[in-house]
Amino acid sequence: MLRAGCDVELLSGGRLLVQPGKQALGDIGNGSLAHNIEQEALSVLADGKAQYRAYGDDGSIVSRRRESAFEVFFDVLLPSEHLIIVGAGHIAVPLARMGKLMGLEVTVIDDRVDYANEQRFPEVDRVVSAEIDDALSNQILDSQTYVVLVTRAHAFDEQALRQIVTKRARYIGMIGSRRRVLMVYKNLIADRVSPVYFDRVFAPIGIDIGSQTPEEIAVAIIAEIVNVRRGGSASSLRLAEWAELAGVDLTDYD
Amino acid sequence: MKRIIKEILRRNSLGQDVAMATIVGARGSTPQKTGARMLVFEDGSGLGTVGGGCVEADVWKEAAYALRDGGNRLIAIDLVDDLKGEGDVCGGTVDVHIEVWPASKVVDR
Repeated sequence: MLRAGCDVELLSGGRLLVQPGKQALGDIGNGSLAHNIEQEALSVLADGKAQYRAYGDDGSIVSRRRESAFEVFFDVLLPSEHLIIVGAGHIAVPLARMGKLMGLEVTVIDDRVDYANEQRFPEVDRVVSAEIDDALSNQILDSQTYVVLVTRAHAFDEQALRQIVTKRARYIGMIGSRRRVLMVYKNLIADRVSPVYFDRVFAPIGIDIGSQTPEEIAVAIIAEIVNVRRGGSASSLRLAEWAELAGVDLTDYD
Repeated sequence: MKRIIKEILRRNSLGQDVAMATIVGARGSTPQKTGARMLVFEDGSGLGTVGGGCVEADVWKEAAYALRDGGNRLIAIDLVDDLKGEGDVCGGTVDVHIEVWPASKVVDR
């Protein structure tokens, strides 16, 4: 509650923490106005974007501050976004650092303990040294999760993709040439993975900046993640026409 | 946000008041969007950004007043266009809420 006029039952400077299905915590005052604000907080949360609103005496939204009786700022605190890097090789090292710079929680996974260790990744939140499928099955993949598949061998990338492609991650990127990516898709289809999910996959990974070194590739990957996160318009390297190339008619899978 | 809250708690536990500036509204062309946050400390240092040179000088000054009198405030900052006025190039307006987190009462709000 940024400001509450004197004739409303609201508390200037008051705060209320609101979560769906839970008792609100804090105090912004009493009465129906306070109740309405609590309800609005839930809809702002569902929207996911912080909002300022000015209200008249009766609780209706007004467009001008000077006509308002009270003002509310609805902030939205979402769980931190999570970058999971599968494969702890040359690309993972700069990528993990950049992920931290972007404010992401970073997890690195590899089955080789010589690579997946805290000396190699001092800045990240978690380094998991375990079989890739086991490590991945322990991760929560949701709308706050970005997954990058950059293992040492295409077979591992393919196996990891098979495991997560149907999950609701915000971003799944996989390294590989266009030819190799197409082969992976064909293999998955042969394994009866529905190709309807492939449109979500960013493979070949990264945006198109002509990257060559591992560090440059890491820049292209992190830039693609920012592009997805912020709704930018950079062009990805991803194989968009995979369906044609693989001879797949997606309407067969509706 | 986690970093901001942690730093407020840390400074408060050292007996320092902290001013928190939040962009609560932005119209036109502005360098940071709604929800951006910056902390200003008593020693004049800060954490986070509400938009670099365009906004921060004003916020900094107002935050220093807030730390002195302990009062919260809501200010509007015009980012005057280069062609019409002097200085800032952004051209929009931001509403910034400045709130003091005093060392003496951390949780009780």
